[in-house]
Amino acid sequence: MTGTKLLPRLSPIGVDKCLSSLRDQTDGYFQPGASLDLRLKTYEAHVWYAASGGSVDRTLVEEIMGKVSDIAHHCGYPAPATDRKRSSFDKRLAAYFGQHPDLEGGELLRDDVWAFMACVLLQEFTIWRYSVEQKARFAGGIRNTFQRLWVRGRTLDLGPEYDKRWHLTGILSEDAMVQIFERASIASDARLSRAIAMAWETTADRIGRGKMEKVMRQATKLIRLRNQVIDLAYLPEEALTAEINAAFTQVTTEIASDADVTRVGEEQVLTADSPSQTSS
Amino acid sequence: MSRSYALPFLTLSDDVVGFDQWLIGDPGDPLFPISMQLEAWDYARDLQLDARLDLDFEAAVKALGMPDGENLKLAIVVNIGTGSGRFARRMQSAFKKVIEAPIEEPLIISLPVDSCNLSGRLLVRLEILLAEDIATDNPLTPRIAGSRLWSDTSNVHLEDGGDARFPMEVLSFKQAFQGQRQVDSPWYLHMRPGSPEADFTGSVRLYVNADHEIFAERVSKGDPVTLQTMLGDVMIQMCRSALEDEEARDTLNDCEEGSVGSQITGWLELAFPNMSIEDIHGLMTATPSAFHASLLSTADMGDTE
Repeated sequence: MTGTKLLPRLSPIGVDKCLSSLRDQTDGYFQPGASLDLRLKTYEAHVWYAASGGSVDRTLVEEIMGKVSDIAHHCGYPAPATDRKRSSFDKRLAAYFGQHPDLEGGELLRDDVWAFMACVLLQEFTIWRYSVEQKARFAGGIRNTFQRLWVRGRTLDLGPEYDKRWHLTGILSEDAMVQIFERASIASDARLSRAIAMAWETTADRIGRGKMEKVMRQATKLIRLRNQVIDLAYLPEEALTAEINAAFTQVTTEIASDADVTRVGEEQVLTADSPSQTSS
Repeated sequence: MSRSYALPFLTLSDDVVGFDQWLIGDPGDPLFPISMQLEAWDYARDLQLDARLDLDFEAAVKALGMPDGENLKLAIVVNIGTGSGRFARRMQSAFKKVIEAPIEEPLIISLPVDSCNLSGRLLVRLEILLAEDIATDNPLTPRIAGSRLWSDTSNVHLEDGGDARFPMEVLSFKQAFQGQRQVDSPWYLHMRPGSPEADFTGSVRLYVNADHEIFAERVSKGDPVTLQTMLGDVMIQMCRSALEDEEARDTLNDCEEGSVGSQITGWLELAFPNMSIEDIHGLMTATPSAFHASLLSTADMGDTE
């Protein structure tokens, strides 16, 4: 008998039911604090489990429900969510999901498990974090409210030996997170993802966070191309760090150089325009 | 090896690398060639992957345009990925070996795979990489450690016990149902009567008592008579429950595929072909033993070996 804990899965029809219930405020729309039994009963036609290979674990489901509720309340729920509250919620939840010993197996790689969490188990917190309008935050996938935080926690965890174990989950901008976690060729390799996150921080410290969006987009493009030619996962830590830092340095240099060219060009145009303005 | 892009250096052809295919199966059992689909997989079924890889080292030195006096070091690496989507969602290193001289016998790669970490697919990527940096003036010779020289990728869809398999779990009843009436039963069907529209795999679960060791072992090994007896009982319980409930009986034919009602309807059609729900209900009431025996006969799955 295996120790795998099986979690409820929600079918795509169940996701549709959730979204239409939220829109029309029908039975699939729960009042905050609705019991687990009510939630399961309401969606019973659309909730299923793996047929075999592990044990259905209600205790784990209840624990997730309780812990996420605690974190949400700590972060200001049910008062309207501000950017700061959302950010704190994301960081704390990523840490919870990232280190939970029962939340690391193949079951957690399934979209329908996370669809259940966002639509049924943790519905009120999905609505609070985003809104009822954003389907992608309810359906399973990389944009699912909780799945994205689980992936971030699992990937960016520096390990218990670090004082600032969850540092990387808190420092990256949302755009930087998207560049890493919406590119499966990067996100599938945790070591590569962490190396990029660290290079992002180093570069942001050097040139300022405000300039990082363009740098990150071009750097990840460069790294993905590089990874097709060289297996970055094969490189030892030091060599990998050097490769990733080199990509960021190359991009910042090119962008700075482009900016210089543009500025010189604009100055030349201004200089050329000046006499005619004077003469007119 | 096939790629949708050209690498900017010389690589190894299939003539230099001797590799046929991966063999996959249950640890300790004979393995079979890997294919695109693996049936009857679940988290409890750990896997074994074996392969033989041969390498003509001298031919590789020539193929890569190695400079005189430079020692070629090649890394044989295997990465295993899982998770659905175009790319695997999680890739992990499973094997690494550096070769720096001709090998006398093919390299045997034998990898145990822990299924609890798999989900939906098993991707196995075998690659030969440049193991260390090389100093060379030849612009076509790979120079940087990690350069991809040859690869083979197998992608297996894991059938993970969705619609096709009965939701079943082996556990200790002494622990799970302590003090309850079913504690000494060899099996126990957990279901909610009167919900024919509920999803079958979500609302029905058959528990097998691990405390009955011999029985549990027979179930695990797929003993035909044991399975027929147990599943026949399950069919009887579920069909009776639906037929005795007038409201459920009326909705059976309208239940969607994958629901409890649709599964019951399927069993009834197999056991009582060309009979209406009302006629079957009449048979169940008038001759319950014939009703039960018909369903037990339907549960005969033949020899599963």
